[in-house]
Amino acid sequence: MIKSFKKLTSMSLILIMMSAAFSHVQAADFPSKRLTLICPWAAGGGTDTILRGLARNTEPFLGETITIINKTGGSGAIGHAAGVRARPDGYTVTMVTFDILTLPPQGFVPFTYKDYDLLMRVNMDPAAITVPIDAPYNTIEEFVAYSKANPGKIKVGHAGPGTAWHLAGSIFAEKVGIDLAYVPYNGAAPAVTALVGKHIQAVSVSPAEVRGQVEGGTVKILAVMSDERVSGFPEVPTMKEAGFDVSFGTWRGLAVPNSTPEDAKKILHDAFKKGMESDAFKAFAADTGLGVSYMSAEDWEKDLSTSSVSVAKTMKNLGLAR
Amino acid sequence: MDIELFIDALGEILQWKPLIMIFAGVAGGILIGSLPGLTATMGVALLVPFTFGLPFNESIGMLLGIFSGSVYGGSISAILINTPGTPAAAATLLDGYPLSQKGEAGRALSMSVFASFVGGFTGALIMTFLSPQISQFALEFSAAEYFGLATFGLSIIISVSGKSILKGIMVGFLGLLISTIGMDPVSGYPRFTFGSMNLFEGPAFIPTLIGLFAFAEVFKGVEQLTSTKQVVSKINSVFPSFADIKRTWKDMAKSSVLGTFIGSIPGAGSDIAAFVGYSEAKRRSKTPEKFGTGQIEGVAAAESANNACSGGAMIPMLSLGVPGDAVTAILLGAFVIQGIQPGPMLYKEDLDVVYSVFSAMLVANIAMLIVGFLGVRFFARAITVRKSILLPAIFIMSIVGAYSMRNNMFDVWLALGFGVLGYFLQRYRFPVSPILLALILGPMAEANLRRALIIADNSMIDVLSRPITATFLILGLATLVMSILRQRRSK
Amino acid sequence: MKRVDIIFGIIGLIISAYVFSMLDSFPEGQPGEVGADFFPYILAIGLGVSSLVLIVSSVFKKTSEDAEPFKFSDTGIQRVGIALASTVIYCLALDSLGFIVCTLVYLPLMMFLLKERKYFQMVLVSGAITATVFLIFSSFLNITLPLGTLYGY
Repeated sequence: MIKSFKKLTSMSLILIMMSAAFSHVQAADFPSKRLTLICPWAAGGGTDTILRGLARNTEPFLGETITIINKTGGSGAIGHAAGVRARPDGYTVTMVTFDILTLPPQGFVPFTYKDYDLLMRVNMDPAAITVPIDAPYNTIEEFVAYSKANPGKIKVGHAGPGTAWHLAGSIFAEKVGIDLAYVPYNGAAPAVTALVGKHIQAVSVSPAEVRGQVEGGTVKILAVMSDERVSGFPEVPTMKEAGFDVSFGTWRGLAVPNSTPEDAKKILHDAFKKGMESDAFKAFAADTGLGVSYMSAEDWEKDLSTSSVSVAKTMKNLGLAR
Repeated sequence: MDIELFIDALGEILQWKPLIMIFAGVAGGILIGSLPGLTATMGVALLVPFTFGLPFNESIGMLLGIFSGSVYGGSISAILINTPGTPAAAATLLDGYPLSQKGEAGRALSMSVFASFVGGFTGALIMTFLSPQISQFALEFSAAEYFGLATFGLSIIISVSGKSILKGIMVGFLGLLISTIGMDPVSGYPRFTFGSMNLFEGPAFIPTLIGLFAFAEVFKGVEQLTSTKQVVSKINSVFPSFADIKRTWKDMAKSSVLGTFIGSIPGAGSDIAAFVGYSEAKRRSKTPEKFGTGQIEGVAAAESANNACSGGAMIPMLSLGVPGDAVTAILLGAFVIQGIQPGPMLYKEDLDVVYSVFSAMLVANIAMLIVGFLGVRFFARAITVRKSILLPAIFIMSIVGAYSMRNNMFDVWLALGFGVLGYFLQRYRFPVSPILLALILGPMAEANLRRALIIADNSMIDVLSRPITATFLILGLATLVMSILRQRRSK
Repeated sequence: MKRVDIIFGIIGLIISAYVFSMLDSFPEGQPGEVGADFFPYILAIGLGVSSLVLIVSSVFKKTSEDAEPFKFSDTGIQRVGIALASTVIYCLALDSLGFIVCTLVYLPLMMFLLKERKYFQMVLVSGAITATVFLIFSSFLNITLPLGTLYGY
């Protein structure tokens, strides 16, 4: 027994030494090894799709490969937390999503967007109000008038409690002074399905998520919650055109943990910006229907400082904050 | 149906390049499916980016190959090591594993390939010829109907409870309670999460599955290392025998149709279909008490139902633009990137694309049959490996499988915890499958009942009296009463 | 009387009592509304009742213990304990030491525990399993396994 144990330990030692060869030594100039991009959402979803497209087109400008890790769960909390806790050396970049604003008010995470150093915003998709094609209203004004006459009768489907689309419906109702009922679904697609089946009266998801149905003639978009009309849907008016001051949407951007070296941040920003501006990425984004919308770190930071307050307030009204 | 156009599309798929992609997809899919922790959803999601640059026929061939292959692949590990490789195979192990313990792994595997083919091909045929009609039926399902379906599904707990219905019910309630862990589907309140963000979405399903089955099984293997003898596996032929096919063809036919319908309802997936198919076969059988001890009908019914589901799930995706399950949701994204927008317009404007998808699905199932039969001998040899080598290997695969689902170490701990639970439950003759059914159907029942109540302005009567819902509820109640009566009588 | 069933029944009762104790802190819904506490409430009753029935029926049952008893002196049970402990250590070390090193140490140890004594084969198979799993996940599927923070990853 003892003899065989000795044999075993010596074998294990050999294996350990063999495997030590796998380890690397860190070099000085940035970037000198492959980068990791954390995606807080599952493979195959919108965030993952845009991130993979961007990573593929940015690699040539960085000269290193980019590995994408989907750290999912907890409504995005897991991935965002991993991003904050990552070593601040610039080798771990996180795709921060809108949920970084909704997670702290719900008490789900002990950090906010301020614990990140922002690099740039990549994408922005506005919310929209979409109804079945044969609904008794053709404009957003008629919709508002109808819901004023029938308070609580319009059931608005959204992607789940505390998601951007949940807030979208509520912010809209708050601003125009109507009473809507909200039906949570497990993501945007099931909500759209329920709308097509006419089980609910409206959904408050992005235009891209109802594009197939709009083209198929089963639903119609009444208005989008953006400042300008959305490319791909030039005939759909904005809320502001109808006289409602509502602008709301979800976004995604890149960030690194606090105290990442400035030069590393600059190199990352420049490379990803070049990736965003490449023709290949633009074509890819157009195919997916996801709205590309660059915003510099400073502008984005400013934007977040105001929207984080209003989001927290709406969450409180919805009874989601604690 | 434009037959000429369909034959043209089929001809395009039968070129050597798309064929190679289909076969490669099927082989890769079988591998992915057979590894616990890697599901059909993940396989398709991870390989979608590789297909961006490919022509449509090749990329759709590869993706549907992976889809079909991985749903079948899950049954291999279910039969051999009592661990469903994908959730869809959870019903397969009920009789598949006892068969392989009896030394009949080859028989179970070849039946599984054949039944998967029958189911998958039937699903694809129904999809090809009846898509528009079925998709209209699928749209009838609102939250109230889903609640009915989920409740009916929960009555199946009785038929997978084995000897003691009481123990099955108790474990089922435990599973349902576990399924309430995480954020409340309506108010977002975190229930029983102990403040851990890892539990906000509830215990992750795949790691739980790996724990309850894979870890529990290796712990049992480690304990009984010396007391059980090495399983032998005799294979006379890689094809199922004529007698087996004759015995099971009715179950396969029924399961295939049931599976396609369940698949076509958005949100009801192959795991549910497999259990419904299994329970139907048991109900129909003259010897229901033998189910769970290695009845070949159990394997045939479960596998044909879950593979038929794939074709079914494609129906609403193609004809309505709404995904039938998680895999088709990702496929939908892949289509859009290829510049194709599924939905009613697709049928009007790009019928050739629709027919290419139909053809690729049909061919992928034939490819699965071929690759599957070729693999039977090879797979069956896996359990003849010495336990001292096999068990540590399963340990590693389970750990990696649990980890890779979300790249999260917590999930490995979760799997280990459920492994210990599963080990004790099995040791003391408590059935484990009810927990699994509860985890699949519990959240579906709760979220949809509450959704339905919001839609119906909190009127419970309105929700329960909808025709489809009421039918499901009565069916569920009938199943419950009849199973209990039957058990009483047999005592 | 079956002692095991009584123990399981008591555990079931404890869990259901715990669920009840937690429900108080759940947010109040509108009156007449099905809230966050409705399902856990019904399910805890179900678990409690079925646990009670299990206890009562096993008290009055004539049949004796049929499952094998759980004894810590049993070598099989001890083996399970060691296997579980080594797996826990493996998981703890995974982050810092990385998948490759950990697995190359864990596999031979585990095989040794399971009475494998062909050392050459053991090492060969361990290396092969490690390499295969690593290649399938990292290269083929692009899923990152822990490489070990100790080496700067």
